[in-house]
Amino acid sequence: MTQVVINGLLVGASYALLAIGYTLVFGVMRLLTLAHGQVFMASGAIALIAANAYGLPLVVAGLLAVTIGALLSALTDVVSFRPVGYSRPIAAAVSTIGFAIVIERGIIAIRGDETAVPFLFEVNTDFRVGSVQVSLVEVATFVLALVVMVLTSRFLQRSRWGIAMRAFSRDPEAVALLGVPVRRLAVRTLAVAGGLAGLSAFLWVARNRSVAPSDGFAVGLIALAVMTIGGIGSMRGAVIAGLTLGVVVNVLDYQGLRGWQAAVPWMLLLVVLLLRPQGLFGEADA
Amino acid sequence: MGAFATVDFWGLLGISIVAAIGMNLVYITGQLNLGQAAFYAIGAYTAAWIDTELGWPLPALLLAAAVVAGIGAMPIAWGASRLAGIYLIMGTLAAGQLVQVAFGNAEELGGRQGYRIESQIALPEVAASVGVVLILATLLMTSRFGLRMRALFDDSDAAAVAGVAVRRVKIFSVVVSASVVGIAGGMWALWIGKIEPREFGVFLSFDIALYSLIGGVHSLIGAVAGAVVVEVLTGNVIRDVVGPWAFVIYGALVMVLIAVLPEGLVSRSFALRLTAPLRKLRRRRVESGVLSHARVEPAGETVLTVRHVGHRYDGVVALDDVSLEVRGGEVLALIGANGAGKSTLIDVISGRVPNEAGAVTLLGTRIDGMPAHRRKAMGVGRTFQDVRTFAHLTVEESLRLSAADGARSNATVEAMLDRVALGRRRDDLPEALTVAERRRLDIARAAIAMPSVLLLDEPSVGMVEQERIEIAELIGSLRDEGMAVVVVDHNLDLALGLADRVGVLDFGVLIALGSPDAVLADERVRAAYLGHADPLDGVGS
Repeated sequence: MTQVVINGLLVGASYALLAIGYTLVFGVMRLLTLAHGQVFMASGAIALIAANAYGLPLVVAGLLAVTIGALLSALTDVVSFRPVGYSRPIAAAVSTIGFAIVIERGIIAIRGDETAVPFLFEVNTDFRVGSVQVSLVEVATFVLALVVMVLTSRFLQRSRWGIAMRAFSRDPEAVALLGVPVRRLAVRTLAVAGGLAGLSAFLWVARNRSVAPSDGFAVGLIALAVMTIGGIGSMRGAVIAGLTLGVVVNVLDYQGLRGWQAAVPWMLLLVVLLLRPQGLFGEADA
Repeated sequence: MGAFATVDFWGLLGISIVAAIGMNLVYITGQLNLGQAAFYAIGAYTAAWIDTELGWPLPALLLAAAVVAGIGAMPIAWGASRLAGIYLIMGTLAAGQLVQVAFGNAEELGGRQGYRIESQIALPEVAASVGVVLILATLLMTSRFGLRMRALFDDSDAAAVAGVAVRRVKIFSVVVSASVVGIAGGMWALWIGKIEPREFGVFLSFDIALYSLIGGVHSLIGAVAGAVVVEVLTGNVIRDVVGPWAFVIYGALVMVLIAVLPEGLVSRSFALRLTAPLRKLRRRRVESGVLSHARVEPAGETVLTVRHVGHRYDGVVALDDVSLEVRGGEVLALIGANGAGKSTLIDVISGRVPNEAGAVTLLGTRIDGMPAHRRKAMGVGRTFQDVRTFAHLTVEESLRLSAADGARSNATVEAMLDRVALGRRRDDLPEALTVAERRRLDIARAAIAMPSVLLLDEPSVGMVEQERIEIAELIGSLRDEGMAVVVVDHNLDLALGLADRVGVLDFGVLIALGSPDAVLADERVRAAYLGHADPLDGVGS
C-alpha cells in the first residue's frame, strides 16, 4: 500500500507541474489556454523525434523539450490571445482550441500517423528504499514540482517582474500606463509556463517510455482540472490538488476500479465547483 | 470535388446542423457549454438501445433521445446556472468527461467495444428531422421566451430588471439545448450503425461549440452556416484533397475566424438584413393601442414606501436609515453629490442589491427579498445610469421583452414606439441609435409595462438642451398618467423643474425631503453642498 501511495504522489507531481503552468497564465493574464496540454505533448514529442533521429544525448533532448515548450507556449500569445484581444476571455479560450488542434494535428501530419513517439534512451534509475521501489525520474518530478512552486511563489512576491505580473492581473491598463511592457510580460509568462510544461513532458516520457499525440488532452485536461480544484491562481493549490489526485487515482486503480479512475478528477472538480467555486486555495475574485 | 455529392457528406452535415442549433439554444443565453458531447452520447445510446430492445419507429427513437438527454441535462443545468466564465467552462467540460467515462464502463451497452445498431436513418429522414428541429427552434427563438433567453447574452442584470427569471431561463436553455443535441446524437447513431465511447470525447464537444462560435450565435442561420463550414473543413472530402494537413488548416482557420469575426460569420445585424423582407411580410398592421395602466392608483395615494433602509459596500456605508414615500402621480427628485447613495437606493428598491436593513413596500406588499424580475412583475420599472440596452435586440424586441404579458402587448409596443418617436428605428440595434434615442429606448423599456413606480437613474446625462426638454416632457407625461416617478439626475434644472418633491442624500443619509423651495432653503442642505457646487448653481435663473 505504501508503494501505491508513493507512486500516486509521483504521478501527481507531474500533474502539479503542468497545473502550475495553467495557473501562472490565468493568474497573470486572466486568460485560459486550452492548448497547454498540446504544448506539453508537442515539446515531449518533438524532442524525442529529434533525439531519435540525430542520436542526441539525454540532457540535450531534455533541454530541447523545455525550449520547445517555452517557444510554443509564447506563440499562444502571438496567434491566439493578441489577435483576439485580452478583454475577450471566452473568445481567447476558444481561439486556443484552434491552436491546440493545429499543434496536435501538426504532430500527426509530421509523423504520418497517430502512434506514440518512443523514448529510446536506456535509463536504469530505479532504486529501492526499504520495501518501496521508486524511479529517479519520478523523484526528480516530485522534487521539481515542489521547488518550482516555491520559486515561482517567491518570484511573484518579490521580484519587480513578479509584482508587475500580479498587478497586470488586477488592472492591465494601469500597468501599461506605468510603463511596463505588457506584451513582453504576457509572452514571458507564457514562456515560463511552457518551459515548465516541456520539463514536465520530458519527465513524463522518461517514465512512460513514449508520448502519443492524444496525450495532449489526456494529460492536459486532468492538469486543468487540478488547477481549478486547487484554486485558480494558487501555486500551493495546484501542487496539493495534483498530489492528492495522483494518490486517489492510484489507490482506486489498486482497488480494481480501473475503468472509473478517469472519472475521479472530474467528480472532484464538480464537487469543488458547487461547494467552493474559487477552488481549495483560490481567491474568491479569480 | 464531386465527393460533395456523396450521401455520407449530406447526412453528416444534416446531423451537424441539428447539433449546431442545439448549441445556439444554450450559448444564446451566454452559457458556453463545452460538454455537449455528453448529451450527444446520451441521445446516441438511447436511440441505439431502444432500437435494439424495443424496435420503436424512427420518430419515437429521436423523441426518446431528446427526452432522455434533456433529463440527463437537468442536474448539469442546475449546476451550470450557478457558474459563469471559466468556471462554467470547467464545469461543463467535467460533465462531458464524466458521461464519456460512464459509457465506457457500461458493459450492458457494450463498454469500450461499443454498440451496434440494426436500423438506419436515410437521407430524406435526416432532411425531415433537420426541418422539424429548425422550425421548432425558430418558433422558440422568436417567442417571448426566446427574447428572454437572448436578453441574457447581453446583460443578465438588465434582463432581470426587464422581468426575466434569470436562473430559470438559464436552466431551461441548457435542458432544451441538450435535447436537441441528443436528437443529433440519435441521428448519428442510426447513420453510422456503431457507436463507441471514444467518439464522444472533448473534441466532439469543441466541434459542437465551434458551430455556434464560428457561424454566429445570434441567429439560426448562423448555426447552419457554422455547421457547414466546420463539416466542410473537417470532412472526408477535404481530407482527400489536402491530406493530413487538412485539420491543421482547420485549426488555423478557427483562430482566424474567432479573432476577425467576433460575432461569427452571421452577425446579428447581417441576420437582421437577411430576414428583413420576412419581417415586413409578417408584421401585422397593429392599430396603435392605448397604453393601459394595469394598476392605476388614485393620484396622491402612497405607492412606494421605504422604511429605515440601510446598505454597505465592503463596510462603506452607502445608505443609512433612509425612509421615504412616493405617491402616485408625483415626481420625486433625488439629489446629492457623487457617492451620496442615490443609485444605491434605486438598486435596493429594484432588487439589484439586497437591503441589509429596513423594508421596501409597494402598494402594501413587502418587496425587499424578492428577486428583481418579481419586483418588475409587481410594478417596479427602472433605468440604469450607464444606459443598459441589449446590444443584440432591436428596438422593437427590447420593448416586447419588457412589455407586460398579455394579448395586447403588440398594441402596447406600437403605442410606445410612437410615443418615444422610435417607430422608424424599430428594427435597428442600439449601436445604430443616437445617445438620446438610446435614453428614450431605456425609459420606454422601463415604462412599457406601466409600472406603479418608475425609477430613472440620470435620464438626461450626455444630452443637449433640446433632447433634455424632450426627456422631461416624456417623464412629465408618464407622471400625469399616475405613475410614481423617482428621478436621480445631476442636472438640477431637469430634476428641480420636474420635481413635486425633492430628497437630498448626503453620505447615505436622507438629510432633507420636501418641496423644492423648502429643501433648497434648508441649512443642512446648504452645508452639505459646501465645498461642492452651490445647489442653486445651474438652476434656471
